[in-house]
Amino acid sequence: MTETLSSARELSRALEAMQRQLLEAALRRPRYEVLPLDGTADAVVDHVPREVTVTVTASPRRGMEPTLALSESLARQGYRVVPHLAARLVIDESHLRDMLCRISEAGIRDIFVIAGDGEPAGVFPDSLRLLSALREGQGDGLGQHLEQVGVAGYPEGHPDVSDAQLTRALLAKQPSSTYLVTQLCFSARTVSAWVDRMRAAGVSLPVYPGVAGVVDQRKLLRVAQRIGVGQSVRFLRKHHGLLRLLSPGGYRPDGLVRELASRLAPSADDMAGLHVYTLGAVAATERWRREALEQTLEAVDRHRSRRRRVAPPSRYSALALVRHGVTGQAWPRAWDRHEPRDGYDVVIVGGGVHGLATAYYLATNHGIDNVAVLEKSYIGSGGSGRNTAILRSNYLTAEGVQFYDRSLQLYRRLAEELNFNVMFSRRGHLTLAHSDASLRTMRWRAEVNKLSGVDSEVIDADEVQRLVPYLDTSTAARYPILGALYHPPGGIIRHDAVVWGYARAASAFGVHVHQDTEVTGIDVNDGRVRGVQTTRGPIAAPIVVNATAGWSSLISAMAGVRMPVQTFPLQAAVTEPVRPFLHTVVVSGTLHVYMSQTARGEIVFGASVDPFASYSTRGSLDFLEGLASHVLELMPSLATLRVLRQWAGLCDMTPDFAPIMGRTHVEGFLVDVGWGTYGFKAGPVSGEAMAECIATGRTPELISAFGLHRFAEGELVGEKGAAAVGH
Amino acid sequence: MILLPCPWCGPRAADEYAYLGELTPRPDPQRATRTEWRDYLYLRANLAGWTTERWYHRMGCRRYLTVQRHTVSNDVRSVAAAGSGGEP
Amino acid sequence: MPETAVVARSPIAPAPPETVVAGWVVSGRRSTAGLVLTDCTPLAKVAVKATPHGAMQERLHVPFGRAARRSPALQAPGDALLVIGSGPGEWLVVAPPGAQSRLLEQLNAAAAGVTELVTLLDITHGRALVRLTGDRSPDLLAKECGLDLADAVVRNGSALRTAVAKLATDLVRDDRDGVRSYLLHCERSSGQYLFDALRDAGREFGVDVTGFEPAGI
Ligand SMILES: Cc1cc2nc3c(=O)[nH]c(=O)nc-3n(C[C@H](O)[C@H](O)[C@H](O)COP(=O)(O)OP(=O)(O)OC[C@H]3O[C@@H](n4cnc5c(N)ncnc54)[C@H](O)[C@@H]3O)c2cc1C
Ligand SMILES: [Zn+2]
Repeated sequence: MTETLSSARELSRALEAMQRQLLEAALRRPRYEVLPLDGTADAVVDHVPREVTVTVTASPRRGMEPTLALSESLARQGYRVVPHLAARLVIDESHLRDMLCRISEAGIRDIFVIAGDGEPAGVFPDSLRLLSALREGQGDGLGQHLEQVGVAGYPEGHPDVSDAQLTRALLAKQPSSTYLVTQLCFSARTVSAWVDRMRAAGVSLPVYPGVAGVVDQRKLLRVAQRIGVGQSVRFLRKHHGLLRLLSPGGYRPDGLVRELASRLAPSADDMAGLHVYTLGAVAATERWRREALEQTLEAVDRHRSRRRRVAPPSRYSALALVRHGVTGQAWPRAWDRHEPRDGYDVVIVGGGVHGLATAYYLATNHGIDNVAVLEKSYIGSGGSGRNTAILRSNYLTAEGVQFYDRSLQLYRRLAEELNFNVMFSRRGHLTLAHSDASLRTMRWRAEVNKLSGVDSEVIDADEVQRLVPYLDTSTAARYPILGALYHPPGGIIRHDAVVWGYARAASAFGVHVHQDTEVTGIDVNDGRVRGVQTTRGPIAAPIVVNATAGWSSLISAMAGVRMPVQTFPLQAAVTEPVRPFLHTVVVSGTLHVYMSQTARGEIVFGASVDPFASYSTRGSLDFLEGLASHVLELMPSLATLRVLRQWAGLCDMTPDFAPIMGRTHVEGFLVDVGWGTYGFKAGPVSGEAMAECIATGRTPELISAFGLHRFAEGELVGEKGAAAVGH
Repeated sequence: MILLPCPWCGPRAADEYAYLGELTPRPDPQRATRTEWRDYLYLRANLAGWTTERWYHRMGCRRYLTVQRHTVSNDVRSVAAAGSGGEP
Repeated sequence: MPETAVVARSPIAPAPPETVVAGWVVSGRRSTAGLVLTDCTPLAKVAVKATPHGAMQERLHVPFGRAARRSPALQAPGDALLVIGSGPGEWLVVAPPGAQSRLLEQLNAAAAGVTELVTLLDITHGRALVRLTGDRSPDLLAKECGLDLADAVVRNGSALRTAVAKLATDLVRDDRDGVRSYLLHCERSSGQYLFDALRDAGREFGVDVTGFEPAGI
């Protein structure tokens, strides 16, 4: 009885988790449908971030040209664009071929095929006919570059066509299309019932439910007039729900989107994403999306904390401290020790922050807990226990910024989530400019960051002096400080605590953390991973993740995967503790040095990697000498401070200073490596993304730029400038 | 830091040299496919053990050298002028 | 009567008072300190490149790693010549200010009939040259250079290229009247930096600056 109850509860919890994920994914990367009007391009570029796909409708009155022109222009601006191809606006096959050529040249890989309104201008009376032409022309290269072809679905029916006819048409289109977008709809129940009917009828295409964005009525009317009154009236007839749009205060799709997620959750294909009809209100819709996403993320948090209460890792509290202090009672083990099982669903090699976070999110976000983390030494013995723990998100490319920003968000909530004090101190991060050139790059970076909502500002030398009083900001300095890039959300964290916190929480959710367990071989057969050989015997697993940073080439080689990685030692040093005087992280790329003061009062210094590749973690005098001279250039008053320790960790450097994440050509063998000198800050987001990649079998958008195949394809990531010494 | 015995100049600290990385066979640029060429550009064995690599004595004789070094211990077992054999 | 026509300046700022020697603005300061630093940039400098151990090396008769006051290929009166084997197949020939065209002529003549590629280049104005003289000069250099400068390792007449103050520098042991002396030769743009670095390092040994005198080299 209680068993069924608890499994029912678990089921509903898993469902809830899926809904939230679906919702988050849908809000993170929706499709915005825009009209090809003057001013649309500007509105999109001004308001819409690049992770949103933009679909451009076709206007029966103005023909295909405005659609193509706007699509090309947006594609040039870096958007993923989907032009609508209205069959009735296409004259003949050569017209079609020309258009597909232009589309292909613009780098567009996705089209949406509709019938279009009005009389056919040429030989295609409906979308099916056009799709057939596409299919037949495939042999001689027609549309060969296309990866996606969408078609429309009508949950509320069509005024002129019967439901049975609609279903038959969809079945006919299915072989030449890859996804479905539903017409504007205002009832989640209607959509989900329709999806069920379609599935029963044999339509298996992924579905993007179409919803209206935030629309105020005056704007709607203006657009309606511009489109042409006749059309807008037809529009109204087709969408009786539209009347709701005209209620005062406008319309917000919050409730609808939430309900869609909850009804369609069990299958990701039933809500492959969200298609938002912006109806000309691009800015308002984008504002709404951001708010809704924020709320969803908060909900995910609350959800996670609720889950934690169900299976709580033993609580650390002031009361417990007193109790243990008084009774002398030993603390329970933070993570359990186990004998390795014969096999696991997922084996993660490497007990650093990346491996442990991946395990934790597999268990919490996806309910996959038959997972082992194998660590050859003790957890955190690699880079994760040796880094200088600087967190920031002011990267240079949009991909970089989004990625690291997500990580900072997760870090911010981590102490609460893991019930473990990770000592995240958001104290601000300063990158000093010693030349006009670096000042210019910083301005650029600050502007890119703003676009993604990351707080980042260029400040002048006086402001720098105010923030860090002991810096030598005089113009007599050998490398005078001209200004700095100030990034207030950046800071430092206690790296060991992050490792321990993840290990403890993962263990509480059933993950096995095996220390002193070295992977010595990987079994691959028929192009598939079968398991690993370890110093404690063989372990079978259909999925093996390489999260071994500096050692990652060696692990990949065991699976027969070659990598563009070179291992370089990176050194750091720490002084004796002094009273707090340095309240921000200070980085100088020119001088190859950075510093921060820990909560204990020590000054932590870091620099750039050693000058040659090596697996040795011995420190060198050259490093200390160079470091000292550079630190004293910046802050002469540190001359009397004594260095207590110096150490080195191994960094897996890639040619483009970006990580390598996701699947490899060996099925079931995934990598999360190439984290070089900057990967600690990415631990949480990488864990989350890798867990999603493993659980869903799909590479999340957020990490799609980081695939191993980019090197063979020459698609390197342009992050070097911001990643090199900045940390 | 380590000492590298330059065949021209004698033992010198590694920071007098530029490390140019492990030796990778260069495919024929006329005949290599893009993928082969990119493999050559980017892929590295990155061995933990004896490797054969190229160094350049930038602050000394300004000659290119072929060095056999153990990447775990950093022991160097041979240094020779580049092109004088001992290369893969 | 001091010369006045200025043709050149060293990259190293002359310690006051300034004067002009052989068309070069130099320091007129005279120091009697036991450890002195002199900017010798006005000396004529010609770079020779040829095959290591080739015919040109035979004619110059100076191997890599050595510096000689005379060479069968060049006629110069007295001490006014230094042929430095600065690298494998690389030489630096130094002579009094203004001697570069004469040097080039003689080297050209020496290269006649040599089948290997020989390159001659007047680098007088492209480089900086500094002399450090005094018993404590090895102590000073030990602060900026990782090499062991003991007699057994770097005896008089040794030439080598190494890092001095993190700069690629030709270092020549060229004692003067039995007193330890080194010539340091680097890129022109690094000259002031090298000079300053040596002066900083020598402060504890009482290093002083003394001006350039064309007599000898
Ligand atoms: C000095 C220094 C300063 C740094 N500063 C920063 C910073 O300020 N900010 C920042 O974001 N990043 C920084 N980094 C980078 C950061 O530390 C790393 O990118 C990050 O810790 C990588 O984490 P990971 O979990 O991937 O790997 P690691 O923490 O290195 O973990 C890999 C683990 O794999 C294990 N392993 C290896 N081989 C095997 C095997 N055969 N079997 C089983 N286990 C194996 C290792 O023992 C190791 O514990 C710094 C790095 C160093 C060295
Ligand atoms: Zn050498």
